[in-house]
Amino acid sequence: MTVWEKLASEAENEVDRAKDIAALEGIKLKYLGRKGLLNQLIQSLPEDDLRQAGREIKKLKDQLEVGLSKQRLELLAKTETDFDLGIPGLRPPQGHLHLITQAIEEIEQIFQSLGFVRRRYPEVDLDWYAAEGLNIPPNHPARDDQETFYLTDKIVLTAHTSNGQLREMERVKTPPIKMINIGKTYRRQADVSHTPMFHQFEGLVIDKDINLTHLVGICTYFAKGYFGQARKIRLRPHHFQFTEPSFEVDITCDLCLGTGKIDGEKCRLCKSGWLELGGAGLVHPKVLANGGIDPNLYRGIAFGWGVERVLMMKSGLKVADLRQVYSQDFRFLSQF
Amino acid sequence: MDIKLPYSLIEEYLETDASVMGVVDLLTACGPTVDRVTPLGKDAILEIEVITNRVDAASAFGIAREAAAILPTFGQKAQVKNNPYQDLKYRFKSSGDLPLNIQIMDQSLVRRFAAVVLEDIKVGPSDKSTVALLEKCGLRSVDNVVDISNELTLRLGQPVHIFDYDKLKGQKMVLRESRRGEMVQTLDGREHKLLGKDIVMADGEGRLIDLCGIMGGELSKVDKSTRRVVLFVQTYEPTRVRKTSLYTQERTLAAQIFEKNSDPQLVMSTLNLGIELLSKRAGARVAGKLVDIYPAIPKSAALNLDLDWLNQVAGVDLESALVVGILERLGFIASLSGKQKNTLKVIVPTWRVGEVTIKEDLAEEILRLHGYFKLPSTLPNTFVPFEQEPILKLETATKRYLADVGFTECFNYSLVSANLLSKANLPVTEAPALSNPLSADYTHLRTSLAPSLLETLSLNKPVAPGALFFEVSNVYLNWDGKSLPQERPELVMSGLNLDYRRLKGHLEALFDKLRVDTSNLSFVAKSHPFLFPAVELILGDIVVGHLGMISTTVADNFGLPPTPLVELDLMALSPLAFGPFDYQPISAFPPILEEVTIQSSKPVSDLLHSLRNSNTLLTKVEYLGSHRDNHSFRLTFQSGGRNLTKEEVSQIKRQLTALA
Repeated sequence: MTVWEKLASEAENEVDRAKDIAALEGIKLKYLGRKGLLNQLIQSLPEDDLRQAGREIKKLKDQLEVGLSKQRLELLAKTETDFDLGIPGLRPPQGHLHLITQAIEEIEQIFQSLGFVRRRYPEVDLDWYAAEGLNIPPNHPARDDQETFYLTDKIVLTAHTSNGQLREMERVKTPPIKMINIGKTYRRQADVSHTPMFHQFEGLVIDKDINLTHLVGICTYFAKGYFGQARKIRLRPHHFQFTEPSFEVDITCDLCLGTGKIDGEKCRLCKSGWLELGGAGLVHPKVLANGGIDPNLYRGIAFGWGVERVLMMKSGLKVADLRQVYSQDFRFLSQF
Repeated sequence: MDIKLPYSLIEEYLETDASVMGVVDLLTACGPTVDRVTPLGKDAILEIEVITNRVDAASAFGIAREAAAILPTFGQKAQVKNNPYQDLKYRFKSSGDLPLNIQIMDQSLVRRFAAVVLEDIKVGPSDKSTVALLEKCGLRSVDNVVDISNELTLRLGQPVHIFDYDKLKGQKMVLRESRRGEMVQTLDGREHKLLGKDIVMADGEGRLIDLCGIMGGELSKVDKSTRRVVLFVQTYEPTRVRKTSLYTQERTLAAQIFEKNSDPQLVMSTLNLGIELLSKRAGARVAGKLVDIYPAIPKSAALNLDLDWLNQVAGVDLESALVVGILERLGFIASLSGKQKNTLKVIVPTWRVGEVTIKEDLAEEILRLHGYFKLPSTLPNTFVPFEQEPILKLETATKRYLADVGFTECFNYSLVSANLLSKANLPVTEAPALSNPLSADYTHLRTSLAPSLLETLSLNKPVAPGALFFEVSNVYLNWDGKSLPQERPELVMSGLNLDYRRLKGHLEALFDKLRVDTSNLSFVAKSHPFLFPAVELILGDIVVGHLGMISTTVADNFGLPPTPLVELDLMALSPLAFGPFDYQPISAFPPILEEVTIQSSKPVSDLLHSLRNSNTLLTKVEYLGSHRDNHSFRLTFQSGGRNLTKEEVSQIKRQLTALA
């Protein structure tokens, strides 16, 4: 056996016995490294012998590389194991955005896609912005509809986000105006379907040629976007002091598909196939004037709806008591 | 206001072939909303919502009138019958001469005052059909006389009152405003101490016999012994009736009608029908002269309606003939004028005066009868520049990030109890207080998000031991009792069984995520109502929040173990967030890592700050830990342009220990 073959054989033995990749790396270094056994052997030989052994040396190197490679693959293959892939994962910590935040984000997105800008206006405001400037004089019967919390007789907790209309008009001064105000509102009511604090979103578009078909269009766009393309809306006559004409906006009931009946029986959820969404209307000229905008030059449409309300209607959450939405129990919050 | 009427009663005023549901659907689409229809034998009970400005629809006749105007627009024949507006003259002659002295001290209190005396009345039970009718409307039968007054209101929407004539001392009725402190006992047995300026009626001895427009007085009430009555029909000044009815908490149907400005024209037809019913059912006969004090029929100036304007508002073109037809069916008088015949001159009927005053009101009448459901759907060609309010952007990014790393968001009420504030050692007087709270649980607007969050932690201790919570909401500050409080958006973060360094870690990570430059973040010890120890977080020279451990007393109040908490002022933070990316090119030269221990009594944050600002070749400083005053750090030295030598690094290290 030549010295080369002897070296090759030793190396092969070690490679065969190598238990892991690290060992293989060690063997490679030992034999083929700069200060490895092969180089040592080469350096120990006289030049004459070396010249003739060129081919042998190359053959040895190749053999070793192939052997190392092969053993490497075999060792790698051995580390592959099959196991139960269905085993439960180890989860990272999971947090939860509140239902209301999620609803607000969704509502905001729909209106942003229509080009509305989201604003925030005071929750606690002067009675002027919350009522009087909206054409609701003091002691007017319309005030009955909103049981308002007062801090002083001039400062109220807003019962609707409509104060945003006057504030936006004052801020922008010259139309066009296209804004959505989403904020907290307060009413002196607490029962199964009312919480003393809740959220509303209020939209306002003011421009030269605004008309009622635009109101129909915007309400339809939102309703279909939020509740589904199969839904329809309708405007029904109503009264608000700050709009004229005024409407209530209804949406078709998803339970009875707008027919009012389920298997011949009256649908329990809706009124004749329709569910109430909220109020809307053409901005009253007095309100425009109070906002510093000339009603002879501009017209506006506005709508104001409840966040909790649309949330409850969409998700079919079946939360029996609205106060539950404001529960702080982790077992509730962590479901969303 | 909501009213309940049987369809059979409405039918007495409406001539039509349309079915009940046909009428109901069109009413809802174009007029008063019918909330519910309950079949009852051959009849049906309608629950109708009457909107505040349409008191003219608050009766069977009013609903019939609406239906008669609406149905023909949709090809259905319909007409009003038994129209009280065709019965505006007094129909009766006197058969006696019983005196009735009326004195109106202030004409502004009453727009129309009509009264007549009847005799030979026999008070007894009502007949079955009257009882049934009242029950269908949700009322109880009392006796034939009281029932007539209720029935008149249901039929025509004009409240009336019937007094016992012989109980009126001096046969006198004095209408005046009340004086402060005057007492009156109403028919429901309640005693009211009046605030003054209420509309009242006194008899010849000055005794109050009526809380006008709201409820009759006990003193003049009709009972089994009554033989002679005064039928009394009036229209009162709306704002006074409303005020009185609210503070006395007598929200009667009469009050709800009068406060909404009902039509005085209805008085005479109601009086006529009242006499008719009293004679038919109680055998009464007119026994005196008619009193009808009626200074002015409601009138309005003619309104001009530009039809081009109407089409622009609607977004559809309406034929002038259609428009005129609708207005006329509603009782308006409309005539085309102007050179191009595209202006309408419109006269408003008495029952809509005061309510239809501008062209927009006319537009509403026309378009609702035309049918809002006929309006097509279009989107406006109005656009405003894209903008995002910085504070909203900050709140969204904060909420999303915290939820993504494991925090659960809370929405607590802005209104809290005084007790909750005290539990957190916060001064109750600084919190804006409601002047009309609903309950003791919600009396003040909160000045910090922390107390509510601590309550949340407390509540969840047994069910979610390791949970992390946050809330982003406004707090209400700088309350001075007369100007608007400052609404400041804040973030509060805490958790159960939460290590302080973990909370701080979350805070630091949040700042990084929000691209807040924390190189000049400092922690200054500052006493705080519910935190101890506590520091103020200062970025540059702006205070952005507080951080610390809940003080032991406050933690005890909430039943909590030692709990860390941070509260950030998002408004102050907003201009400091979303700074530019600070990109450093990756060095091609290897770093040298060294550990150093510095003995110092300075706080670790100060040492870190000094280290990080000490030398540009020191690119990273990591805190490893402390043992008493010995603080260990791992230092990374690297140059962007060359290999560093061990000697250079050792020399820098020696300089650093001098920072102690």
